[in-house]
Amino acid sequence: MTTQTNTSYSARQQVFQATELMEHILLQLPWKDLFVCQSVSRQFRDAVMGSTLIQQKMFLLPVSPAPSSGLQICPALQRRPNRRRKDIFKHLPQEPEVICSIKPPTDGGDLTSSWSRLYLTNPPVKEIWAGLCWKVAGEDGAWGLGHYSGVRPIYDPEGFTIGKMLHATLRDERGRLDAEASWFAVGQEDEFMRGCGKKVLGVVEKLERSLGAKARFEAGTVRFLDTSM
Amino acid sequence: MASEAEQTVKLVSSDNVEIVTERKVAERSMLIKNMIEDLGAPGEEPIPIMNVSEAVLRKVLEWCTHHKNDPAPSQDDDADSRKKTTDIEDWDQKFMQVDQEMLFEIILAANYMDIKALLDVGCKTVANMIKGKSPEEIRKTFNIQNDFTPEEEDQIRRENEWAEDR
Repeated sequence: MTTQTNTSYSARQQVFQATELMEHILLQLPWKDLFVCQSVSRQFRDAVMGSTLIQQKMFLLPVSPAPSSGLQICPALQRRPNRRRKDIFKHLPQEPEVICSIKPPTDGGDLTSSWSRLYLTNPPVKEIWAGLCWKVAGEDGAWGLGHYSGVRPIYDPEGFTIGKMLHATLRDERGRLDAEASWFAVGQEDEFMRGCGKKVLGVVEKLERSLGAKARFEAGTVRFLDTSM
Repeated sequence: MASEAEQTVKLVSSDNVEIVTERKVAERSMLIKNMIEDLGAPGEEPIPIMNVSEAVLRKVLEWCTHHKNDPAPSQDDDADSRKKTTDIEDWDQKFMQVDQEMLFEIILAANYMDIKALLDVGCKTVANMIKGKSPEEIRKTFNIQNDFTPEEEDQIRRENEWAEDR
């Protein structure tokens, strides 16, 4: 068999260098793998960052106009049955359409990570009802009493990312964190809280000092109002 | 003139080997289909497949033979193939059990010869080799050099490490 003259590059290198083929391959990957594979090499990073289709699939770029499939919910959010925790939603003007919760990942889920830049939905919602929920850990490490901040409407003209939502809710909650310090403290996942800004950090440290118990940020609960964009 | 089903065409690989195959098989390739339509008289003129060597061309034609009766791709296929991410039918999975260089050769050939379904299978196979792996494991799988500076790697790793938590 004769050797081909044009293969100073292997077939693999040729495929990985072809933007279209690389995009085609990466679009077959599940959502989470797209974030991981950026750390492989510059070629992989550039392929992921340079493709609008891939960025949209990752929920890092908005889709516009809305696809025929309707509103897509970011896989970082867990859909919750609407019937749960009626108490939380009793102040709402109407029954929520969709309820989701978000748990920060064990590692790296702070406001400098790509996690915080994820849009909650695609196309992005501009108006949501959101609140925070903490659980308090006892001495034995078991989760005990919970605290719920209550939901309130927040608005962002560019559409909500996880980071923007947390910023807005944590800002609103700051006063209450101080007032109800005897209910909860932070510890286990305080790295996450620390990522949320100096003002919150101050509150967090005060709580840590005043209580020995551990608590963690558990979930933001979201209600979508603006689904018609 | 022979009926369309019995017609054959002559293909010539990049290393100058002539391969005779059924017209129906060869026409899984849109490149060949268009050439036959332009040339008008199939079977007489050999069709050069300039970028594909004999070994790869035979492999591609093996796939085309198995899939010669598949329905023609429709307009909606694009959206569909994106939804069903990594499911590949059994025969195709076995077909793709080749060494890595051949796998990438098949992808290049499918792209050049414009065989969308084969390109999809090839890309899905590569995606399956990436899926669930850490960046280091992916580098090992494909023999890729880590060409980040330590600072760059640190930054991109920190931004995305949440996704490695499975």
